[in-house]
Amino acid sequence: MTDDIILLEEADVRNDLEEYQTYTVVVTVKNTYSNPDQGSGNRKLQYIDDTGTTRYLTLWANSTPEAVYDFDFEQDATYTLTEVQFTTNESSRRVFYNLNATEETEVSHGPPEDDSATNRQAITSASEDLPSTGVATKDAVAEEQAPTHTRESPSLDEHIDDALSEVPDPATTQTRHALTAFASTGRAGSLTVHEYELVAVNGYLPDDDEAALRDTYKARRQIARQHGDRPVVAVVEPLTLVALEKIDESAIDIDDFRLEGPQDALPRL
Amino acid sequence: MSGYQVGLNSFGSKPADFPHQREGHLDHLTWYNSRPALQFFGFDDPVNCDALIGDEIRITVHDDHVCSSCGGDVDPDRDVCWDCADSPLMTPCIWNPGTECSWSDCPYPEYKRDACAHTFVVYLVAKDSVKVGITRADRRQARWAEQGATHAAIIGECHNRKVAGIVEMCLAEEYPSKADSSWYIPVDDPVETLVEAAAEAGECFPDRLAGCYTLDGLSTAEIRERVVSVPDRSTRVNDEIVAGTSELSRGDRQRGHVVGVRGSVIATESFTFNAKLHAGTRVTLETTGDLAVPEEDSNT
Ligand SMILES: [Zn+2]
Ligand SMILES: [Zn+2]
Repeated sequence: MTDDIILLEEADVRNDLEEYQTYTVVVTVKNTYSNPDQGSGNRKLQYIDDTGTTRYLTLWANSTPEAVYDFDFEQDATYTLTEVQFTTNESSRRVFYNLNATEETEVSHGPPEDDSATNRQAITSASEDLPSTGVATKDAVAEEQAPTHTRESPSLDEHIDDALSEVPDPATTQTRHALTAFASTGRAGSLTVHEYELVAVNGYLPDDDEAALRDTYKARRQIARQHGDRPVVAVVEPLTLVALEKIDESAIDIDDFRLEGPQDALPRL
Repeated sequence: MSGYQVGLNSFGSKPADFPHQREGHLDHLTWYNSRPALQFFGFDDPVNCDALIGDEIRITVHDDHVCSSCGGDVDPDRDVCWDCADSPLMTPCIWNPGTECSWSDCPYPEYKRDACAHTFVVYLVAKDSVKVGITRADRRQARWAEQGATHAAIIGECHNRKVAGIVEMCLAEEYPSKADSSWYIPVDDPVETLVEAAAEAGECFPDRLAGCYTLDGLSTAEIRERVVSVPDRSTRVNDEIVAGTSELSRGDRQRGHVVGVRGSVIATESFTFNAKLHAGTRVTLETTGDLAVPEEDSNT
């Protein structure tokens, strides 16, 4: 294991952590879940990382000490967990980043003791993704201004707005026959997906697929930050992204890449 | 084909008091075509649970397991493999769509298109009490049977998974939504209990989604007609006794006579076997009955 202490809220696990290493992590728990449909079960601690992404630290029932598995995690409280292992895996050409408690994991309330504060400092500033000089990059500025870090849980009305956001109007009017406007089975046809390709520029070439995939995720973050109202962008495969709305390629600046949009939107049925 | 019906004698070890055996990693108990059948990963044919009723079985729950979701290899300390752990199915937005789904900002647009952007129904089921749930409209029969409900009624039709999840969340204050899968003692008079709950449930819909309630203005008699009884195999079961017996756990082996099947549970007079708790685990099922699934009805 390493002595590194990782503040998950200030980390980008994809770049900051090394595979198969175990870490002491400090996590502010946004929520806890367990999946009732999964055998002996798991608990997931939800947090939001430095990129504004919602992520999970997983406690598996059969590999986490009971005291940790049954620990009463409170919402918005901060905890320190030791011996948390970081792994990645690839499936269907996507990379997954996993933080799992181990049999040695211990949990305590709050951040770790003071004597580790300097250590902690060192880790965060050494992380590759942060600017190492005093020159603030565009990323860092955008990061500070991004409002997504403080996330209040949405109201019922906001949830309903969101849930109905893609439902055609006639279906939502208060006729008491909400469903007359669309078929009850079959695939939804109204979702249009725009596909974008990352074209390397300035002679840059990713080393391999894995590197290309990392670049693609990084590009996804850069697009989200540089675009006014964080569009829905998903990684399809290395160097290919899809978005639910059109993105103005010329307004997006991505390190080492140019974003190449579709000639026409591809309707997916 | 029935190559899996290995006579125990062929191993030369035990007397043949159980002429039929299936050993494999358990998938789940399905109610496809309203017939209970135990599915194992890697086997084309499930085990016909109807044929077990009245017969003696012996079940061994072993220690090793595969991914409970796909049946693939998995590290011994995990329930599901890497592939499955981060699939949309395993995310909170699917378990709790009412509060956790960010519909318009969905990280899985393709999954959303295929699995969420469809009509979802909100239903009430009768078990030991009335519970609320949601499911894709076309999946409801199987869902209720897999849950082991005795009766069910659709009370809402919603535009997509998240809308249904919101309604479910609002109803969950009245009726719990996360049901225990163990054998239970059914509520008294499940049909009337369900009718009463269904008639009142409209009150719990948020105003803006009131149009999703499908029983508005219906009489009690009309609502009663909409209650469906869910297929199970529990008419011969003494629920008080069975609900009090122990559930098999990992490492256990027990024998008993099968008295019934409901939801994910096979009941004997002395223990129950809840398939849902052992998804992915290697299980040996030995029986005096026949394991084969009957030919499908030609009219289905
Ligand atoms: Zn799997
Ligand atoms: Zn969702």
